[in-house]
Amino acid sequence: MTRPSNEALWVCIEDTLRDVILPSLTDEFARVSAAQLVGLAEYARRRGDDPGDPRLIELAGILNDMASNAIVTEYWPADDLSACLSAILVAALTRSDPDGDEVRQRLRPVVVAHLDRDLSASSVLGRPFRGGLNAR
Amino acid sequence: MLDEAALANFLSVQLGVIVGVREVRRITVGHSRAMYRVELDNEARFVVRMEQGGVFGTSSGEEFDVMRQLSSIGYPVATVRWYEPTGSVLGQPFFVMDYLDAADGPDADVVDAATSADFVRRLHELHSLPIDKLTSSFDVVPTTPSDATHSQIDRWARIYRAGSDTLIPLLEEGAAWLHLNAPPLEHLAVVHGDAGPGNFVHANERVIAITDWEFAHLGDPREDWSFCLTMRGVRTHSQSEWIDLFRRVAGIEMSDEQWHYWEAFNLFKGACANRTCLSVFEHGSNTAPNMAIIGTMLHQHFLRRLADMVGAQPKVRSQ
Repeated sequence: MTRPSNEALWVCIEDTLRDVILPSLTDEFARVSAAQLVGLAEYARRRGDDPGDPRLIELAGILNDMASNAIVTEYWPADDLSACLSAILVAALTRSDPDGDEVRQRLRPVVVAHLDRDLSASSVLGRPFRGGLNAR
Repeated sequence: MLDEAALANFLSVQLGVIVGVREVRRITVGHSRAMYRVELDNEARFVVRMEQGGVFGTSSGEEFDVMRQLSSIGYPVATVRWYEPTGSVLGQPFFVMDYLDAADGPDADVVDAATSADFVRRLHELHSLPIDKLTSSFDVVPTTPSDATHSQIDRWARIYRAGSDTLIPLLEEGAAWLHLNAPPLEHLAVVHGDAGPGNFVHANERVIAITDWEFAHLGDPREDWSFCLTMRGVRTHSQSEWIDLFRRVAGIEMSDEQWHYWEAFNLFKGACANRTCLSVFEHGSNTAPNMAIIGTMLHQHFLRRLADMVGAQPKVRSQ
């Protein structure tokens, strides 16, 4: 080992902010900002790798599997997956047929599940945002 | 930190007398603007309300004009003094307004029923103002009342897209759903856009001033009632208490479908506005920690609730 790990560096920043910096601050704005930094350090340490590419692969796979869906085939394949997904979700809003149902029941829940995982990771920021600290 | 010498010079020019800054204190509340309580050596006190590098995509110029117009017709807002639009003085555009002594009072979120009733009365009064003398203050003036909601949906979508490298599918879906389900509107009103506890100063069971006007626009008053009910007011009273106040004090009646629509609208607006914070954080124009948090967690939280509301009613009810 020739250098500290990112994990150890984040723990150092979080602990020092909690135990050294924050107790010495009296200005309310500074205290809230320091608490928010503690939250961001915790978030940075825990959130894991960028999920972007695996999600794109997962969504592209689902779209490929929905090749018989008329809404999907109108927009997929495409270079810009986000624009494609947006167009498909929007188009499904006005479709009450089986193709619309398939978008709502098969594709949309995956997009929502990705958001849920983002929220799960970022939830550690809630208490610090208001100036509080999470339990260690 | 605020450049106190530059501020003192600016204020001296505006006041026509040389003044020094005795104390500057950052006010913790508020994320869209940095707020500073400034006390001069002649004991005059002001509040400097400064932009934050494009946070929420709103304009201080529009906010300043709206507040000035409302003040001129006797609506309770802090008196605005001077607007500096260039950023050359303090690094960001800002305006200066009078400091309200009542702002030193109780926690703005701690509001009793009598004060809430007065707030509801004042908000209804805002919605009832004739808009003919106020339209020049607003950047967006809808052609017809029923265009107002569509204009606001498009406005917020533009704001989020301007700060995002990619489209956000659930947000695009939300915009389309809101367009499809937008209720008709007979009369345009001044909408505060961020109405509720925390955004008014009060004392002795009376509202002294409504604050934070950066989201004000011409539109549908139901947006404000919903915002107070489902966002700003949730820690103050229960939903049934708020609805009772709205009905009793202002005669407001809304159907479940209308509450549903306007809650979704406000979640969409919030998700779009919050997304701008991630952009300004990433680009370095505002690297404060609250920007990173609003742009991630709060944006995601609003978006998730919006997705639930859109998913709960997949069928088009009006087209």
